Amino acid sequence: MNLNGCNRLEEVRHALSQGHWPQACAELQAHVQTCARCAEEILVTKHLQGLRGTSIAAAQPGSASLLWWKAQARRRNAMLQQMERPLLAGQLVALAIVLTIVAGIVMSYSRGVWTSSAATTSNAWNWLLDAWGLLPVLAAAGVVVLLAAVILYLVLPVRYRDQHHPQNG
Amino acid sequence: MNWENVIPGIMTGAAAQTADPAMDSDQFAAFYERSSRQLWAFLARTSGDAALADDLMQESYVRFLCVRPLAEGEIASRRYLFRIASNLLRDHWRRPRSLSIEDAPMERLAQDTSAQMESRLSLEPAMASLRPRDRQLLWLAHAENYSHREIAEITGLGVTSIRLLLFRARRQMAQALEKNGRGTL
Repeated sequence: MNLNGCNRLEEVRHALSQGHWPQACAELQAHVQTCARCAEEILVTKHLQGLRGTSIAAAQPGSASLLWWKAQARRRNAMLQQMERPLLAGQLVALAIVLTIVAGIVMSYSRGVWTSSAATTSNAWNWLLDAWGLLPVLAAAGVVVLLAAVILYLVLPVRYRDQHHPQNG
Repeated sequence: MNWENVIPGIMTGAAAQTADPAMDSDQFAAFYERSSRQLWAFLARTSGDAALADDLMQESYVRFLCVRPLAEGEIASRRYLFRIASNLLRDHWRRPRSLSIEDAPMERLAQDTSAQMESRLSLEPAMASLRPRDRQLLWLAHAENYSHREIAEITGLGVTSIRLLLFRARRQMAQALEKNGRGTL
């Protein structure tokens, strides 16, 4: 199997690409009659270029501006997704803080049920104030509210715009 | 504090329009006009499905615009476009599909209009005798006149492999053409 083929192949390719075939010189035509590799090259190239011509004539490409805006929308969505990633992390942190606080309250309260006199009172809030003091509770609540507000501020307008202007993404 | 001022453009989508100073919509429209028919011909003739070619062509341009505008010149951009299209075709062929009519979901069969069936049957006989990858290689080499190095860049195959694969595919196609009575020079 000779992959390199004929040493006149480049000449044949050049004639084909320049549209000089079959008007190429008689000597090259005579060579092609005797060279299977060059004949194969011409046969396949002519056939495929014929198909290319008919396909190009039949093609009905759509609107370029539609594709342009589609790409803009996709890029914008990608940027928004990139931006929303830290927001998701913020939401997870807020959730973790809330869960930690709730778990702390539950654990402290249940311990108090068994060990302290707080078990006798029906007012859990008063017991909580006695056990923890007001300051840490308020600080934790403040952090949660602040994070929730920031997340709402950033996320809600984006979703609102996406719903009302779908052509922009 | 207004976050839209802190992160300008992202919230409004303006960044997408200003990110590529090298290209605007008019430049893209001109590039599209010059390249879309060739790309469609490549997709339609190698897939044998005009409707699929329409879809993949659109997707190719959208991905092209998202990734790389005309910064590196038209020839490189065109080659890159063919590379995207080639990858999309490969993904399409790799996707699992139903092998028999019993396995095909009923809703899919119901959607198959006669136009779609017709579009799927448009593969030319000599091309149909080849494997999809061989069709791509032959098209790029003989219809688009790409060199082996350029085909390697487009398809991700090695230059040596391309030479061997092209040799076999060309021979197979020439035999198919002669068999179909189209072997005249």
